Amino acid sequence: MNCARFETLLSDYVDRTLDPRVRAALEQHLEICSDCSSLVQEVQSIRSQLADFPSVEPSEQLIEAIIEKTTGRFRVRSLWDDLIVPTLRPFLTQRFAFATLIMFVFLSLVANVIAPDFSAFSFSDFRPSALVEQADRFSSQVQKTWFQVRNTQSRVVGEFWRLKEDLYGRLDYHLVNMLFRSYQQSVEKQGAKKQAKGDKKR
Amino acid sequence: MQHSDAKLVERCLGGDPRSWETLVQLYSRRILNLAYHYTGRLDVAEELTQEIFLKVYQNLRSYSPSTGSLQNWIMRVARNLIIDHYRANRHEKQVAGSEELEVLDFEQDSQSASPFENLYLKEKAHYLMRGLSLLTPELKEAVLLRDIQGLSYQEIADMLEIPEGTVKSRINRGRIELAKVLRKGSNPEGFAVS
Repeated sequence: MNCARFETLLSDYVDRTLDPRVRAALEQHLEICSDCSSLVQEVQSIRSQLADFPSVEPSEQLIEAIIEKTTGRFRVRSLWDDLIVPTLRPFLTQRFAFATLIMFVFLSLVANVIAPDFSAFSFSDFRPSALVEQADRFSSQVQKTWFQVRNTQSRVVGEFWRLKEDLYGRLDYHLVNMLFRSYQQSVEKQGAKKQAKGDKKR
Repeated sequence: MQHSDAKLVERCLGGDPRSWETLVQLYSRRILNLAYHYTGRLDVAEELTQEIFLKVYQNLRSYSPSTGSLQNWIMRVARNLIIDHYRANRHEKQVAGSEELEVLDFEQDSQSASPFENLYLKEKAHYLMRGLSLLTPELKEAVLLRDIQGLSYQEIADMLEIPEGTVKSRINRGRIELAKVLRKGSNPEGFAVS
């Protein structure tokens, strides 16, 4: 095996498409020839770098330009493919489906608690006289609830005022106490000073 | 496969706009990337892609399923047009330097890689493209189709309408030439070829 022969088989060697015996002969040559050995390394490196070469995606504008240029028509628009599907696509995600499920469960629970029980109604409940009766009952119920609310409110307000007065009383007591103590301390200090002056004179 | 190709072509010739749109959607990525890898410029590649589809549209009647798959036929049309463009602009490129390589677009990688990695990839691709542009059109084409586009020897032979042995030989010579060109080029960006 010489260098010229090696070069003709280099791609097959790099692509691993050689017969094992020929491959072994090539490898023997590589052990003794540094030029061919470095050439193989370079080709292998270039090959892997080329494989990582960036590729591009055709834009929607390009597709539209092609169709317009070739057919002279604008792209065929269908309501489903071009409006409904692109609009829904962002929502057709796993995350959105999960959030929808959670919301559905939550709303079902809430509805279970606050929604009226429709099965409890009968046809006679919807007669005008029954409806008036229901309305009267509802109105007196509302009135009663309103009085209860007002009572509770005045009780809460009264309690609040009582607490306020109590707090002010306590604050007043502490304030007066504090002022008295400070007055007492200043009197004691002045007395001590006078006594010290009398001692000096003597 | 060829049966469905024939049907698709038949529907396109029958004036069905949806079928033509399907055909454009099917092959636009491959054609755009072929043009992009040849020219190194996205704007030029997009223009070429439009020209290629215009040619395909005008010559769709001449496609016969008995001569091979629609993909091979379209890629042959694409390749011929790209090569014509390449030859027409080759002198201009050599005079002007490698300006076209400056605008290599890395949007695909920018989503996953950091700005530093992007810059590195861009410089590396620039460096490889510069080396490729110094090869003869035949060798550049063979290396590009095999190592960048990832086509098999048979696919390349069908596309270029040459024997598989010639394809192998061109790829081999192209790789060796590229390695030697890059080695000589003193590799200013410091990208190791080995």
